[in-house]
Amino acid sequence: MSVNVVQFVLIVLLAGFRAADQYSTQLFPFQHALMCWLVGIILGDPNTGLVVGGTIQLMSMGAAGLGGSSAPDYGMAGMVATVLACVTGSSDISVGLAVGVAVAMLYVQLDVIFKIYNSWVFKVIRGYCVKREYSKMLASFFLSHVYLFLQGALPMALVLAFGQGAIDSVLAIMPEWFTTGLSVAAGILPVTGFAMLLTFMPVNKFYAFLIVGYVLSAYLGLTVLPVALLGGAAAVEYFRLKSSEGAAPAVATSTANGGELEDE
Amino acid sequence: MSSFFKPKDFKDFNEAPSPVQLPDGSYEPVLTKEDLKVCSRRMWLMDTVSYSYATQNAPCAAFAAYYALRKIYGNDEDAFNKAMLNQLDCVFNATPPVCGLVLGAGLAIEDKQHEAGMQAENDLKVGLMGPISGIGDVFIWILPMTILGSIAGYMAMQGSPVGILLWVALWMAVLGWRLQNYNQGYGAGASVITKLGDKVSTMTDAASILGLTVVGSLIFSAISIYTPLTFTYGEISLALQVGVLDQIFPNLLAVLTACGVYKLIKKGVKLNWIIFGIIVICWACAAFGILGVAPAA
Repeated sequence: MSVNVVQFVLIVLLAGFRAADQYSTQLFPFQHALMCWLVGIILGDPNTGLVVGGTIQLMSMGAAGLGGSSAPDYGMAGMVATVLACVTGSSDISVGLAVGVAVAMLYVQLDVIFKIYNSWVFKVIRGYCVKREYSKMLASFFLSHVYLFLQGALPMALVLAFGQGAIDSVLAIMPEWFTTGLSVAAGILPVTGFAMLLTFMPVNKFYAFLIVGYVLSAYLGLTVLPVALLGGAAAVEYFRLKSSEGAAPAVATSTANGGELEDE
Repeated sequence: MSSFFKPKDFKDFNEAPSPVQLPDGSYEPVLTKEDLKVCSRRMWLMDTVSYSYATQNAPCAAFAAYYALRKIYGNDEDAFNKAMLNQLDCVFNATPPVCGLVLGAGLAIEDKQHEAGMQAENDLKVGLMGPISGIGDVFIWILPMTILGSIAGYMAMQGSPVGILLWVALWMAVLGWRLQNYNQGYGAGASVITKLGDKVSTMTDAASILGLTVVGSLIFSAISIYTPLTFTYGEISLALQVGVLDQIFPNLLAVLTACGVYKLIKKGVKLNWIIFGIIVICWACAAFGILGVAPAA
């Protein structure tokens, strides 16, 4: 299928909004599955959007840019992948995913440029503050929002304008091992998100709960929602036990003191 | 919209009253709940958009505090200018949805002490931005995103948007709270964080238990690796995956891959290289028929 003007404009606006929202208003931060679903809806194929978005979401987990670090931009990857999957109309989403991830790796370089650009914006803001031109100072803050909008919108416009023809000709010359390999990789790549996430978590202390989660799914066939509920139950009990452990001596002393007072 | 980001009773320098000094040298606090809500909303508009390597998110904090500072210093433009520059130059970086707690506490000091309180305010901001982010990153980003993100992602892969909508709804609840959180910071000052202090690590641990259980489940269900290799002895053939590997542990290859990638990240290998490596290995394995796409069940 081809992309009409309305779809083109909507997707470019959505890509720009997402890029600006991620850093500023954070209405839908890191909700890649949502963005891919929206792109799918715009292109008339919500199901492809959901499948691509779900895969990207699982890949991205734990790879959020925390503490000012630069992480691959999975939101961009997902939106590009959704566009390519919908436009080529193939049920195999792996080629779109691979191109999307490649775009995300390049795109993250723009993040460093953005932070350098912001040093200039800061100079402008501070300059107006020193000159006491406060309305200009307040307006200058939005230079950062504008840059981010363009950072998201322009690459997406390029993908939409040239993507289809380029992808078609690339697909035609691809050998089988190449496309099969990408399909295999698309199944494996979510592992990077989980592994990254585990490095943030106290695995050594609580590895037993990894086993619990694995057994619940692998042997009992539970899906992720019931597993999360059971994990939540364990978390609540742990908190209660630990809290009462800490509080117990305090309670004991207070009753002991109360007893002494009564005796006197 | 302008009254959303700007107090309704805003007065310019020539109309604003002068600050009222009390006998002990401090000042009459002037900020109202509505003024602090405006700060929260302005912070929401900024979050980390001004992040630069120089003063990090300091400009965002300054933008948020602008009208509060205007009110604190009333008609004293020199003092206001000094306060604004102080905000711009004081390095600050904290998890956006919770940073109102620290910045609100800082404004409480400035509202009472004016210029004399600036150093204490800066110390408070720099001193608490680490701890508040530690708590905020875990409770606002990592854990909800892990759990809600994985539910959303997993359900989406199966064609259902329910998980996505659940995530959006819960995030909107956080947003509703944060649009007024300077008030909690202002009211309780730093004591909120010190009061919570001893329970924070227990809460983090409990939340980690939930997170790890979910990840354990996802390692089994959301990673698919399939090998079409089959051993043939005369008339007997044995599929490696179904007949051997999955008999040891279900989806053993996924578990091993997860362990391997975890070890690589722990060793400091860059995530981009790992992703690239996985794609290259998959190409090679696909070419020799070692790995393939699982046949539909």
